[in-house]
Amino acid sequence: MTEVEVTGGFRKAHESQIKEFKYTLYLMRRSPLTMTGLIMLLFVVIVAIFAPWIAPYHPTYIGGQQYWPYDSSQMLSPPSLQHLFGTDDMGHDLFSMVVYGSREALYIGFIVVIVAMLIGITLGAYSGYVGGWVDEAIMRVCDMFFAFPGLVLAMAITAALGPGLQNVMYALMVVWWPGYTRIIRGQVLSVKENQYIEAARAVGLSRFKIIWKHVIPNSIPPILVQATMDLGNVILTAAGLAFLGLGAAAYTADWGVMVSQGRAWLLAGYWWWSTFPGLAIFITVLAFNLFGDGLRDILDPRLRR
Amino acid sequence: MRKGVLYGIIAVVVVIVVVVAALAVIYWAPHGTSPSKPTTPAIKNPDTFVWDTIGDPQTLDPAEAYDTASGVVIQNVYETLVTYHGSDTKTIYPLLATSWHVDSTGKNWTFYLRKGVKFSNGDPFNAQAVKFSFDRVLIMNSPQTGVSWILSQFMYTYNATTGKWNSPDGQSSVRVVDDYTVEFHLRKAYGGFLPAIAFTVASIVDPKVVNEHGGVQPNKDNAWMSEHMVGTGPYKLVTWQHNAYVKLEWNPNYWGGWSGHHVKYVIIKNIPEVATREQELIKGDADMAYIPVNHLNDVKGKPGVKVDEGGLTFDVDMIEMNCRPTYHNQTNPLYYKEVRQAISYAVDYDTIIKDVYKGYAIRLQGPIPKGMPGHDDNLFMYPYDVNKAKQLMNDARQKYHLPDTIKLTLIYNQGNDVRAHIAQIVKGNLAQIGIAVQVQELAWPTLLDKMDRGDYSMIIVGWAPDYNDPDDYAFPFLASASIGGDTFETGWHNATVDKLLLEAKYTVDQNKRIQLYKEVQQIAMQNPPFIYLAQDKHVAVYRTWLQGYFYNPVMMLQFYHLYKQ
Amino acid sequence: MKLWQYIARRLLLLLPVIIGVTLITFTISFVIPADPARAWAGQKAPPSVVEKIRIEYHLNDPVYVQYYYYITGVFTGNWGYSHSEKRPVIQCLADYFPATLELTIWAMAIAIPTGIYLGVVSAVKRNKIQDHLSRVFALSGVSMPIFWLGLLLILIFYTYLGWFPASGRGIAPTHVYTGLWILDSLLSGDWHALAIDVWHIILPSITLSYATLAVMTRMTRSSMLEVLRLDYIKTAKAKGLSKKVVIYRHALRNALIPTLTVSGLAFAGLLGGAVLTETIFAWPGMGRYAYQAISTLDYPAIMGVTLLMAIIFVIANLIVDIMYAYLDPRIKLGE
Repeated sequence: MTEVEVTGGFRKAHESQIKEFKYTLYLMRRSPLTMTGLIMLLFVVIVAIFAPWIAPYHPTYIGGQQYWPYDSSQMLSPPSLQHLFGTDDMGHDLFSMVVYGSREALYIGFIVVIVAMLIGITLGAYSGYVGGWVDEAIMRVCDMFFAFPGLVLAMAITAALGPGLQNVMYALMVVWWPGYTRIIRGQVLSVKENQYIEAARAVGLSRFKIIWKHVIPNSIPPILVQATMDLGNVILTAAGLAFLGLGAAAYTADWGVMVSQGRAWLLAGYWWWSTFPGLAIFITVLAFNLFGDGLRDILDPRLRR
Repeated sequence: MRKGVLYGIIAVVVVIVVVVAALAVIYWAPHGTSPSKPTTPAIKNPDTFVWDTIGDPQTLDPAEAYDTASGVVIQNVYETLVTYHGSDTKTIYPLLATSWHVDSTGKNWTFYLRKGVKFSNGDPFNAQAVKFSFDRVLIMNSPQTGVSWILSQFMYTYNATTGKWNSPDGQSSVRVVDDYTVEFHLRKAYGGFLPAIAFTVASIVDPKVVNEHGGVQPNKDNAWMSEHMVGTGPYKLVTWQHNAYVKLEWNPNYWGGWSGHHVKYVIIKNIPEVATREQELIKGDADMAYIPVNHLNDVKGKPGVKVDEGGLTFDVDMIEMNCRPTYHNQTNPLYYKEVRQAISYAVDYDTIIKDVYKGYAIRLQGPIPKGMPGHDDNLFMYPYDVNKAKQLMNDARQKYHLPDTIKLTLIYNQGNDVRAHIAQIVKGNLAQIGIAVQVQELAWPTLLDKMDRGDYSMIIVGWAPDYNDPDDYAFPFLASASIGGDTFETGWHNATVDKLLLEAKYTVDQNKRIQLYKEVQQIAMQNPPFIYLAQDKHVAVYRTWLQGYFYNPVMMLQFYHLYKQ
Repeated sequence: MKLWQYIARRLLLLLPVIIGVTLITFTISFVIPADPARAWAGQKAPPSVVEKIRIEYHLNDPVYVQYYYYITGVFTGNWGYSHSEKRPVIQCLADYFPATLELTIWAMAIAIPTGIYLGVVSAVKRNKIQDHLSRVFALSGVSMPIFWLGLLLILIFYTYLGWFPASGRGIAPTHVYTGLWILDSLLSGDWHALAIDVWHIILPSITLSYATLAVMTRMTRSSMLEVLRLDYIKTAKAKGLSKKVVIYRHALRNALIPTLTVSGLAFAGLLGGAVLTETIFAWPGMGRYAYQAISTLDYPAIMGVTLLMAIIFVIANLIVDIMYAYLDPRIKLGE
């Protein structure tokens, strides 16, 4: 179902896959939570794409203008028509920051997951296909990484590298790649013994081609589910690191930083500073989770009836 | 859409609505309920002082402790020979010593000790304990924090390899004359001697207890002493739950007695979240809470809460400038004093104090803070004058062939919101005079590293007092690295200033010293290595039922004087 | 293969994993760009002290020498010196570990039954509103920044309702045997401390458990769905057994095994979440300790916490595996 070339025989050759795909779409339409997740997700993506048009101000502007002349008149003002989500203690418009923050969140999520996926697919496919000591070695390394709770390992790495968005992303990549490696390897192992692979090998297809043509497409469903859930998880973990003081700099349009800076003010009546970015994280991550959870249900062969 | 889809959307919407509604209710609720609350709530835990603050003590051994959280506990359990009273920073009062005198060289001091003082375990306090305590600091040599430098700058040090003191006769600086008289023979006459021995490092410990638990070993910590305390002070340690709380109770053997009003128990809680501290204070579960200035409005006007603006601290904030001729192999514009002057004119100090410090600070007038001996009330301060700054900048550009737009970085440490805010304002200020500032937030260790290597343009830095002497400020700020100063690695040096600072350091005549520091400050103001931003006001936030509170910038909070009523 | 042989083999296999874990933590500690000795000594410390620290902790030695010191230390109980606390890391961990363990145990105790209940409901009422609501409720937990949830709970239950305290662990019982204060106060019969400590643990453990609910719910739900379709359940239903009996006596019992396995995984989430929860509730555990260590670049402390958490996690999974092997007769040990 990932083939791009559309030849005359395509429809015929892939009839069963197309049927499967259509069935998946049908199941998805029938699953309310998956659809809700998808709609929320589309909303977040649209906000991120059109951020400059949606946000009334640039996220670094204070009191609606660049940093000078410095205007402190709008510090910590509650939500109003002028500032939909209120302002922080320097006078930044929180609505603009939340809107721009969606870009940062999705950026972190996608980059980390894609890089982790690439590493995982490469290593997992190789390890599963080649087997032997290479497989053993790669799997043992994965085991070592699995021994750490994700946030704790990310925290240790970022603490060592020093705070900052870049370092947070490196750390999250390190944490996330073993998951994909393991999934792909499992898929490869189960597919490897199939008759058609044997046949392909007999015909003399190269390793790379076999993996690419036959193994990867079969691994797409579990990877897709994993990636969707991970996108949310990565965003949430990045927010957790920001809370620990390991994220982007203060007053950056980053949801995690905003929640963690605003948290000191939450109980004192300035509820908006932490609440709106918190809700943004909540909605985005919930969307990924709903969608991923739904996908898992739909694609699970045991439940697919 | 199917019925199922509808249910799903309803489910999600319900959860989100519940969250938002909960917040909204919470936000609006207090406005309705607060007037109905009783105006005089009953005092919670009348015998106990509960203090919500930040930071866990690092060690309770006075010979090693160099942080505030440790200092507070130590100063209430251990005592020093001399001390300060009330809010007075100018006069030294007797504590374990009742009187003292110094000879004309300024090197030989005699102290007459208080009689009838006992440690909390009943052991007697005497001259041997004094000698033991001072010798112990110098022999141990504080391997972790280096705090012993305070004493070793004027006392004879200990040579661990030979096992001898580095003095002409091989003896330590402290001699026991009789049970209640000790003499100090200093290596050098030091102007700040009395203030220095009022610091916690000079606390008197019980020799018997130390010898029973590990004794004194050169260049080594005593693990037992960092967890246990036996002192002569009004309180003794009950428990120290690391990272949670320290509990003290009254010392029945205290020589000062327990007549009058005093709290008998003290709980110092370590709570990192300001929001939690605020709430516990407002609810009366805490009697006092550490609230940073930018949060004071949260608690101001809350029933039963008092915001006590009791005087000035010696905590200062500055922006240091790299004064080396080159930076990254290029001409460093900050090398030229005209540029640094221009920057000093361009910073809008009043806005910073109003918006960042919320008015809880004054402008810092030179390197020595107001209230400390040596502070000069008439010292020149750069006013906020953009035109003057522009003019100075233009002149400097022509004179030294500087580019039209000068690029500088301004660094501060991550997590410090006050400095983040200052950086933004300064960035705007300097844009006015053609300096493009790039603000950089760095982790504290990385920042220190850059400072050490001189790899920076400007850093927002702060300083807090060790002891009440101008030598603790002017010297590390302005003396050159070659004579042991320049803690901030500005690279700034001035031969006259060095000479004056050394002279002031080793003069005992306080009036003469003040004159010397005056001269130093005048030179340093004309050619400023720092932008002197602010000297913090002290703001204590506590329950109205807490009595007896006072603040002294060079002393820790004294629980003995507190009571609840 | 006997059960004890299986356990012994698994324990033996643990050793290389732990050595690998030390390799990772050591590598992490090695990428620090700044000079840690400077940070440990403090801004005001003279250069001689910094140099002394550098020598004492072998910071000038080559990598392999440093790793040698590190690995021998790990196995001899010398986990380095915590510079933010001025005492050995192992002592700090001994102080803080029970607090974290107590918190995670309580969180598990809340999360497992709640999660299973929600999972059963959503499986039995598949695609009905109950299913949607319980899934959204469970997924909300993993979608919310946990520190944010903690603050909301403080706001509601401390500030406005005044039901629960906002910070700390309460008071130490008269005798501390295990470091788990609630257990200790039971053992020593200190009812006063018991009441106070239970009071203190409620908010943080609810906060922490919410984040792991989803895993339990999801696993229970999917295995329930699978089991409910099996023949013997259908037979049981046909035999006319009541619905409750069928669900809880027959279906759930079999569906629980996979749920048990994920509870091991959930433990990782709990340990990670504990770092954030402890900071909000001023809970004196390992998470707080790590948080404090980060700001001072006290990396022996960070490495210690990371290593210990990894070891606990590995052991937790081992226990789960063993229980799994014990409970599920279909699994042949040693395969």
